[in-house]
Amino acid sequence: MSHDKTLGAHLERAIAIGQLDKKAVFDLADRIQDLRIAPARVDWCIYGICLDYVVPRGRIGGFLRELVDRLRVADRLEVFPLGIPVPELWRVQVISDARTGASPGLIESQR
Amino acid sequence: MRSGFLGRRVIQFHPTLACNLRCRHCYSGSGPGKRGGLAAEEVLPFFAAMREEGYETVSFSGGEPLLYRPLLAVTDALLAMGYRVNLTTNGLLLRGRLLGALAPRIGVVAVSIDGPPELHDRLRARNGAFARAEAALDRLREAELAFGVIHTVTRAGIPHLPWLADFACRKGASLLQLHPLDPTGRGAEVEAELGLDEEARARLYLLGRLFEDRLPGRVAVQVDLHPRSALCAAADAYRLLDPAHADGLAAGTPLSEVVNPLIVTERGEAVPFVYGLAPDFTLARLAGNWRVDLRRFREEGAVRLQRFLAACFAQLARSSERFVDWYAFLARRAARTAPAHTVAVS
Repeated sequence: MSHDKTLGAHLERAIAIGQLDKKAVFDLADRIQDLRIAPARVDWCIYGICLDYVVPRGRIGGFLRELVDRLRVADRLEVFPLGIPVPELWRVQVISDARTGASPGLIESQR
Repeated sequence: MRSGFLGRRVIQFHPTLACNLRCRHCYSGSGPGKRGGLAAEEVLPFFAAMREEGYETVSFSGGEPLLYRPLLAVTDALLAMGYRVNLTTNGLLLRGRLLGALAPRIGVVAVSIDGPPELHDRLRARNGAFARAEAALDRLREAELAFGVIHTVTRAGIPHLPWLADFACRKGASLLQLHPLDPTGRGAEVEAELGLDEEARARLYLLGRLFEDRLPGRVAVQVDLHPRSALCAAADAYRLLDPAHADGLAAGTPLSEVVNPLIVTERGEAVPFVYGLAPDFTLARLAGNWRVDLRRFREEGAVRLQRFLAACFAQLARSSERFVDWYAFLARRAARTAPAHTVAVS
């Protein structure tokens, strides 16, 4: 994932001063609620705001079902078995769009 | 082992309401007109007993702890007991010999910064308060003492959060703590003007988590807000909810395993979880026979506290809030339900 600090700072400002509108903020907040686990990490990437979850192996099946059933955003899922250094952990990345106007064409093309 | 939602077992110690500022949003109503503080001989036996109960860290708050006369003597005694000692301050007095004395004793000093100069001075009701707090940060860095920036998040402060993150990083802070305005003390008077609504809380949560990613690894970011559903799913972190404690605390259970953090107020009351929890939940009064109070808590009070916690999680599950300041939630709920949960203390 890209970690462009300038873009990140711009988008942070968009959240802080309200350029990212209320509906977009609540949509993202609702997705976080739906998965019933706090994201391990929230970051910016070329798609917008990324929510990274780390889920123990024993919960991975239920977590994936929740992704599909509750979030209804998953046409395709990519699951990353970390393997090293913690073999019982898997990584699932959830990508949502940030309607900041920063890169709307790119965001549209990812849907 | 974790206890509650904290990684360490902590006593938050508010030894005095005396303060050299009268901040508009102060959660404890501290100020220049307040005097006095808890005597060392009153608190130290209790802290020694609490060390045996598994508490590891004492975090001084206030009032302004640098105005607490026995600060150094109490700190030395706490260190001798094996505690780690942290301190939160407005920074105005953090200089010279006092800073030199604190440096080898204090683990982390957190300095309150409420936003850029104009906003900070307005909320702190003192022109020049920001400049003095900033100078304190510089002196802490020169003294090579680990320090953080603690920020009370207000509606007026949200637009400045990216600035604050950069400021903390530039100053060399190792911690950036973002804490929503507490609607207690004078905070209750300004809640309508400065408190966070649902949208502001969502923006705060996202920003805090993004700062975690953007700031260098040496800056730990703590946002005192959590997704409601994640809190509900993690209720078992509260071991007091274990059925083993249904008839009182199971024998051999250290207090720190079921009450974390423990708050010691300037009135000499030991209170679970959060400053401002309704007085009816007081576990012990240090001026009285606190050993008897604690025994009574183990036998009876723990059951009431267990019911209270269970009711809080049930209420949380029904709530429509997206992001929750858990401790403020407990305080609100306690204020509504306190009469049914009165804990007798000596």
